[in-house]
Amino acid sequence: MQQELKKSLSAAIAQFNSKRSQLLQAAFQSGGQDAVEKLEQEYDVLRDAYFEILQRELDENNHLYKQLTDQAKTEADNLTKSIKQLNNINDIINLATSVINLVGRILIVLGV
Amino acid sequence: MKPKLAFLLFLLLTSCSSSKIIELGGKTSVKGAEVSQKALDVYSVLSNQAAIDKSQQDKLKVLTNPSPATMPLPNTKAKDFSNQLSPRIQAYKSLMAVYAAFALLTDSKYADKTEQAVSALQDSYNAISKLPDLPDVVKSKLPGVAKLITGSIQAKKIRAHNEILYALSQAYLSLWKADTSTWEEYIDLIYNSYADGLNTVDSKRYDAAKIAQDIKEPYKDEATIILMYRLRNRDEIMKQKNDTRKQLNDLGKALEELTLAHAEIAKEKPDLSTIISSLNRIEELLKTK
Repeated sequence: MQQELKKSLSAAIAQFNSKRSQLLQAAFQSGGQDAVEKLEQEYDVLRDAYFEILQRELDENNHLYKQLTDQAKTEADNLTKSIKQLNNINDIINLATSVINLVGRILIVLGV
Repeated sequence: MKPKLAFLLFLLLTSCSSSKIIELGGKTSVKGAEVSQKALDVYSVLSNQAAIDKSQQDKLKVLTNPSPATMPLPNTKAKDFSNQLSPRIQAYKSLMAVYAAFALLTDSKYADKTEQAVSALQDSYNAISKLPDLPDVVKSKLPGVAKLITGSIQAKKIRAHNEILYALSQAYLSLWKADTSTWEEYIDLIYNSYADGLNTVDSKRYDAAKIAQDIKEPYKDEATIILMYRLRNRDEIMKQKNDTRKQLNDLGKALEELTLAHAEIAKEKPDLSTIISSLNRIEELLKTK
């Protein structure tokens, strides 16, 4: 239904545009500038309706994009945890080095 | 002695595949960030379309009005797509953050730092004269072995995260595919409306003498000069439309290649050439406009 309506609107918009100047000229001759404005407003309504359908199509996926954002955030957090774990390996070795240095100093101070 | 040799041989073999995974993971993270940025650029182009459409429709209203002297200044209301664009932009910003974190995980510095840290640990230990020195074999091999172990842990983590990234990029791709035809229809309507309407503008509205001042083409009669000008205008509008559509299309292909690269790295025995080919293809797709 929506697809049919979209096709009809698209065809009507294309038809208007392919004869735009002639149609506006005819409107001007029959009712002056007011008639031209009215015709243009009707054309704008057609375009608005077409865009509205496109927006609805996109809106159907909006909640999925929000889910995707959440999933991506979770994965970024998990990656940060993994990076921390990798850093921990080196931090532990560095800590062991500091401890051994400290032991060395204590041994020197105590003169053992 | 034999178990020791077997262990070292195992570590060496693991190290080759680990360094390959780390290297490919790093390259894929760079391309993933570039694809995310390209998506944000495409959404920026799409968000500019409302203003372009308004300007084009206002121009058309002036050029096709039978009595411009008596018409009010046109002010077409463009349809605002920001509610549709916003969740999509947010999703790709999050994807960008994922690849920034993945790039840190694939950094080759971790294993090198372990090697340096173990060397420093050995030096500290040996500096204590009261303690017996480490045997030479241990002294020479330990930093390298520690480096291999860290590399192996890192590669394991990269592989595990790559599987999640594969699922994630697949989800982004399928949503992109679901949206593409709608965005194409949006672009088509904007530019086709303008080009079609402009085709109907009365030739009397154009000043052939002014057009001739700006062009170097060898036409003499006014009708030809005006027609050639209108042809050029129409071609420019169609080029703008096709360039925008191509950007949409190329982003879809780049997402597909990114998913392929993740799928391959996730395999037990990844095919290096398939991954490199996907990454090269992404580069080509992103550099062409």
